[in-house]
Amino acid sequence: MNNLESEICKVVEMALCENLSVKNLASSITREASMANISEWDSLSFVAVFLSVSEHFKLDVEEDDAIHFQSVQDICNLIEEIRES
Amino acid sequence: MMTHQLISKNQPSRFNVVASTGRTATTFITHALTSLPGVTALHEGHALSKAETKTALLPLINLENSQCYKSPSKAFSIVEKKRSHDVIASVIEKSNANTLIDIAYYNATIIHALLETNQDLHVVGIIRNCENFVRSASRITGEDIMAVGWPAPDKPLTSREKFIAMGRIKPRKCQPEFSEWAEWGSIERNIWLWRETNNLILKAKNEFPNRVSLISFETLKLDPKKFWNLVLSAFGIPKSDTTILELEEFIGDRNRKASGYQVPSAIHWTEKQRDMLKSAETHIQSLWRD
Repeated sequence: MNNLESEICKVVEMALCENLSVKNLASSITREASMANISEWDSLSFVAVFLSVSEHFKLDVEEDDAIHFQSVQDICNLIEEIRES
Repeated sequence: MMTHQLISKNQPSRFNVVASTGRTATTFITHALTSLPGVTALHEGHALSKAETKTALLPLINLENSQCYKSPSKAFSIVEKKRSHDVIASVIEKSNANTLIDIAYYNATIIHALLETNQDLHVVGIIRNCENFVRSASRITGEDIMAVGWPAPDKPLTSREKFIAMGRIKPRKCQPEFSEWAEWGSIERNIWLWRETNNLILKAKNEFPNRVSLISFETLKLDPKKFWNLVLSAFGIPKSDTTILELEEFIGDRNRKASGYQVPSAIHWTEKQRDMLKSAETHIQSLWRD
């Protein structure tokens, strides 16, 4: 896992924990984590992840970009794409 | 093994979909179809239990809905990823059904890609009267737990409502309605949503006349026998008088929901809103061929 992936994992995990007011998730966020395999990352917590990641990485994103916030890998690809452009 | 026959790519597909704007008794229709032997009906990709708990079986298509509306190529890539033969085969195997049906609002934006990609798929498009859809879908205050339509622009949204809204279609920049969007309230936005969603369904009917069947939502109440006959025929589900009777009885038990409209009937709308309603209805009626 590279530094960016690791940082994204931390931000996503923190956003989910804060949103649910819990200390830990059922399983940690790893580079493979997505809405499909993390039960706490659902439609209710999605907006918290979207806002936290956007704010932490200072991303100038619109609602249309929300599609890229459904997995750690997608978020990573989006950030790399934005940084390269 | 029977399951292997079901999942073979050489066998006729048993995956079909219902497309509509939403607010067309889709939860009820899901329960009714699932009650038939050999049929697993999903509501927006979820199996529903009698206790209304949900189990996700098909990958979620929510945020992608708006992207698919904007770009036909995106619709194809989403169908390839989330409604591929392998994905469908895996769900059919898990559910042990002969027929898998997904009933969802997002099927309208991927309808063309679904029909192109899966040559055996059939679609039932349910079209509701515009005024009633708008009244049902427009939420002015309070949480809308089935947030199908656009709420009043100044209504505070819950996390779930925000999430659903992120995937809801709105005008593309190239469309004339794009510049008007910010000025519109929920009535205008939902008239537009009704028009665009049904436009997609009717375009698909035009392109694939034998694989898309249309029925009005009102028929479900006025002539349930006709409604269920059409649905079962479209999906190739064996029917008997008993099956139809069971489905008709289902409606008697389940379809007693209070309307809870927060928007008055169209006679109380502004003249501009009524003109917009009439224009949308005329457009859709002009495209509708049974």
